[in-house]
Amino acid sequence: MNYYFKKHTLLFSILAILFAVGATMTGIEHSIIWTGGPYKPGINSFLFLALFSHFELLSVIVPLFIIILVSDLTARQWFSDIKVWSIVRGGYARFIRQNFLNIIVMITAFIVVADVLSLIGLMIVSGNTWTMDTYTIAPGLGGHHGPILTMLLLFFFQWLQAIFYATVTFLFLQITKRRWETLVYPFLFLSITPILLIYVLAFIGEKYLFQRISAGLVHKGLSNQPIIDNLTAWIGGSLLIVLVTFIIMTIKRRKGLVR
Amino acid sequence: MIATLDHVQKRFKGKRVLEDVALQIKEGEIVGIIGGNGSGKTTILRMLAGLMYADQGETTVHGKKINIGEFPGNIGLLIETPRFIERLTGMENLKMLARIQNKIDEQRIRETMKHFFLDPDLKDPVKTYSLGMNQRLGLVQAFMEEPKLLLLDEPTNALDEKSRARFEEVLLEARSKGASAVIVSHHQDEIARLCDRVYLIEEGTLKEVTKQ
Ligand SMILES: Nc1ncnc2c1ncn2[C@@H]1O[C@H](COP(=O)(O)OP(=O)(O)OP(=O)(O)O)[C@@H](O)[C@H]1O
Ligand SMILES: [Mg+2]
Repeated sequence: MNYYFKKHTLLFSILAILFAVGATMTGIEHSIIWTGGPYKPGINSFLFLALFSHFELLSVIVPLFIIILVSDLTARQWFSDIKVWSIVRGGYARFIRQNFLNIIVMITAFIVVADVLSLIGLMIVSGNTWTMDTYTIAPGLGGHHGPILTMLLLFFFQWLQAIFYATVTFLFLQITKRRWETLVYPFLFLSITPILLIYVLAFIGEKYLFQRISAGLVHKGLSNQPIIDNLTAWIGGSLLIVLVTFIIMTIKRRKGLVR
Repeated sequence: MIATLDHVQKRFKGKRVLEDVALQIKEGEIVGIIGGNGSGKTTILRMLAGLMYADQGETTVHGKKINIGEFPGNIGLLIETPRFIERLTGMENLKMLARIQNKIDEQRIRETMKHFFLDPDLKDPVKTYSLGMNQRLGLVQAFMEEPKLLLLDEPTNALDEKSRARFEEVLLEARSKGASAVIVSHHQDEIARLCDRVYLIEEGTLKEVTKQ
């Protein structure tokens, strides 16, 4: 592991632990109010509830965690001469590719570590119980898929969502000059855009509030619509942001890379 | 020719900085550029590094035209005050850069650091470096991989006598190995001592001046 990553691990670990604490708190809350029923929810369904339900704190702060991590990983290079010195040595495309790769690896690692810690935390407070009932894991999917496939889908959506937040942060990295700006602006963007979208695209309805797109997965529903919604929102959104980013990068590159 | 500028013009928001600039740097040659503040010296170095483009005219480095979006490889670059990643040590910053081309090993980085009176084992982050230390680290960065062309903007900024003398030594040694350099400086004596040829930039044009 290189030095750049090494310095990043402290922040990474702190956020992963906070993440796990958030998920565990959701577990505690819902264990207490659980009033019985055919299926006792397991630590897996608590985790997904914490991640995707827009009533849970964690689903609101995860975007912030991703923004902080991506900013910490990239902005120090971009706002120093290291960027130019790297490009002069290895070329522009390679520098950008390396950045993308670093972000993807870091985010994947973060999700794995944070989820595992969360499951451990949940295990401590509510025992090693997993639910294999698909409808309990993801009510929004109406129990249409097997438990393993359902869980894989949910993990995948969590990852896609994080990638989307990362692309937004990377976009703002292109148009800002200071590190704090790469924290504040992406968060404002992610908070304000959905609200604007509701007004601009009134006919789509409020399900396109970012958090509510995911919430479709864990709140009662009977169809596969949440899958389609999530795929559209996160993949479409990421592609759109990446496209805008590439346009901005191309314009900047044609003007000259100077700081 | 290792680098040339041919009929280069550059303006910023309508303001003409370079009118019609021609410059040739031969292999193994050290060329100096002098001129007042804001006369366009740094702009010339940035063009040679591919960080800025001329509005008109042609830039070539290592015999190849620099097109938009391309960067000439094999150059050592130090433009204005170097900014490293502040929370890493000097060594960590340099290793990160050296890994890109993988031309040199850690031993070579250590030697170059020591040459510029920097301790390779210093655990302090660059944030704590003095101005002169930071500048010397910038010089190590530019020299360590023995590039064919060095572009140095006021390289002895903030350096004490000892470090300044060492810089001259290292530069002349690089030249003896075939490297070329363009040096921008406000120190006339230094330019006169080091450079094979000197250009003066004034009102957007570059004139070769005879060394006295
Ligand atoms: N990116 C830029 N955008 C707008 N104007 C610029 C830019 N870079 C340089 N300039 C202008 O071009 C002129 C030349 O700048 P340059 O930095 O090349 O001067 P210089 O000769 O290096 O000066 P100094 O001796 O002060 O370092 C200045 O008037 C400067 O304001
Ligand atoms: Mg200058």
